[in-house]
Amino acid sequence: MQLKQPKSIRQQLTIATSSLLVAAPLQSLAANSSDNSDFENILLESSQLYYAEQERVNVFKSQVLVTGSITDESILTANFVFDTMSGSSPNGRIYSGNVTTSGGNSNTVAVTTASGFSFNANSNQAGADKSWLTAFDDIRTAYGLEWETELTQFTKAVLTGNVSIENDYDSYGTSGTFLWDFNQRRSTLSMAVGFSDDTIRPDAGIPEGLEEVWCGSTAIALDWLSSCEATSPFFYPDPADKKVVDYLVGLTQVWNRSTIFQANYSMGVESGYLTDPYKQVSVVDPSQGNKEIAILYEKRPESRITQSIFFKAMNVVSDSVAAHMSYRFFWDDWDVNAHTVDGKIRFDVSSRSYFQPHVRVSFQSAAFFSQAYIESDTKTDNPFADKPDYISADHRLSEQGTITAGIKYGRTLGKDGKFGIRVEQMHQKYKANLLPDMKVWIVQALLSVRF
Amino acid sequence: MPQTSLHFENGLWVGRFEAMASPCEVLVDHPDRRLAQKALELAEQETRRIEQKFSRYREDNIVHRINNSNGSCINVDAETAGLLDYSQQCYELSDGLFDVTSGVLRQVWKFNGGDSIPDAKSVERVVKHVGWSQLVWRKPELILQPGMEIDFGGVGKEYAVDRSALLISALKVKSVLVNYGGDLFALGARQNGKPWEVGMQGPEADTVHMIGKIELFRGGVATSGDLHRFLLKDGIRYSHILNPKTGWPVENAFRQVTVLGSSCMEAGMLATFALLQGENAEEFLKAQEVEFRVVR
Repeated sequence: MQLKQPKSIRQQLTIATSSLLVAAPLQSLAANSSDNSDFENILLESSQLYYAEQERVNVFKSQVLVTGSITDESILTANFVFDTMSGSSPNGRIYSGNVTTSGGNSNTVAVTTASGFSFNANSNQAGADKSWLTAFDDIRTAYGLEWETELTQFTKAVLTGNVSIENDYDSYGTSGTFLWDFNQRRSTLSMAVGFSDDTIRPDAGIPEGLEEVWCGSTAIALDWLSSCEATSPFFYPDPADKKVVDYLVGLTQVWNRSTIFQANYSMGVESGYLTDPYKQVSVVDPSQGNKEIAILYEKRPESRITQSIFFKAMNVVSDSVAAHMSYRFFWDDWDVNAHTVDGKIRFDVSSRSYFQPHVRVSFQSAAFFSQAYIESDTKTDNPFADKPDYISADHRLSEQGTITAGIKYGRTLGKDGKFGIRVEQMHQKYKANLLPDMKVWIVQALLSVRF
Repeated sequence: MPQTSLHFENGLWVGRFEAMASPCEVLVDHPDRRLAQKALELAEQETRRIEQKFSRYREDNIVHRINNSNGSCINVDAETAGLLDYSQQCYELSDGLFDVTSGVLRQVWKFNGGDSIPDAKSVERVVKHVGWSQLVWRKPELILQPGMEIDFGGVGKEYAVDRSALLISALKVKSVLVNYGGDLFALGARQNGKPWEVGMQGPEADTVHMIGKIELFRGGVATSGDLHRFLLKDGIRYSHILNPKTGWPVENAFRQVTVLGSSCMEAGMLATFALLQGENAEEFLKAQEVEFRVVR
């Protein structure tokens, strides 16, 4: 009966023991929760995300999160994010697959922008016009610190600071949150204010909105261009600045033993340079079957006020099933309205592992200046006689619907360790054939370990 | 039953009570009496709760309900489910050598130091009712075949040690040692940064002297052995460690195994697994890369 080759089962036994001890009810512990644990634990979490749009953007994102308690009442969290992004993203120019063209749409425009960011949207292959895409290659690093501290027995404050740096984009942010537990800790009121200051500095400078994209030293003559650098006589060398102030008021309510509700209202006030210097708009000639005859830089208003309300319910259906449902309504003074419904159900398959299917559906209306392209004015010789004040062909500001569906598998490792993998597919559909439908695969792996 | 007591001895607060047929101690290396009192209360309360809930000698608990279910389906609470899951994992990890259904073998094996060895027929009759694989465990539902029993005796004391330590860990003191009849857990080192010194008693019934000591900073220690519990017939010593697959004692079992682990339960389970390996106990423990002591 004895084992010939003793095998090591200790690790599995440790996991089994730890999960048993942690999973067992902690009534006695809860009764003494004012004597909070002062275990000098350090939690290390990491996640790897892979985001792939069909033949477009690829993003690899690595994130490391370190949490540690400084004193009994305070927790300090540090995070570090490293993203590498490469691929191509829609630049706003017409998607030729949907515009009748009379030959000659094999235009190539090469743009060199931020360091390491070069693009050569060569479209000479028939049927593979990619002039509507801009290739990019960027690296982002971000650092954040969060300090959570108890003020009194029922109040808590959270202060954060964040820095994010890309080749051509810096962002500095800070926020403060105040949390108040009342109603025997069944209710929590939260109030937060955040501020961020972003700077964008494209290598070439900031282009003047609604001015023509030039190629080298001349306005683009699309018919004969093959490759050049996108320029403009109207570039401003100074970086552009954007400031955002966010406000949030929220209430979390424990309804009964198995249900929690949450409601938030938030508002964001953005000001400064809100335009995307890399986005462009095509000018087409209707008399030539909407052939693209010129390209303009986009331009957006210099202020934006966004608001949103958010409701969420979490219900523990049974010992092994928990459901999350949420709804968000977003609106702003650019006429963008968006509704998002999100549902997740977690099924515990054992005390240590679970599956969580996820579905999200959202609809968004277009910004008032969202336009797929501009028709040139054929009555005069000046094709740009009829320019609007603002225009953007950015797909993110257009009317669209998105469905995301996926599944996550999670598992505990040891006493406090966690492992998870999430696979999702996002399907996005745009109004007015602005862009082809987009399918995106998202794969994320998460690992957290406590020391 | 002796009263619960708390005394300051040799620079430590020593809380004592008796539960699970063992002397229980909570040692708190901190000058604050209230902290020691709180630690002792938490430990005693939790230990009595566990004993009340999982003792097989009571008729008012879940174990009694399960063992008298006579083949019907029993819906168990989350904590019992956790212990059943754990028992199943231990059964699988030990290749069936650790089995919480093996308690019925006590009907024929009476380990009282005497010489009454059961006959093969009666062992065969009882061993039919042993085997985790014969029961149906689909959380939270458990179905035992008539005649089967479960017994958490093999994990109960270690579970109480770890649970007590877990509850005490919420207090602002780390220099605590929980010791229930030799199965113990240290939350952290002594106040002076030194380890706890744990004396080890030998397996002989009449030994009072220590056969060694273990220095423990943090973690669990558990001992399995056959102190007082063996049968002697015709010069053959029958260990109380029974192989649930055969219903007979494990041959050439070590007399005592002590293991250090990250928890008391883990240490206890490894010590039990090791005894079940018979003469291969040491090889088994070496493969686990744990600190251990054995007595042949």
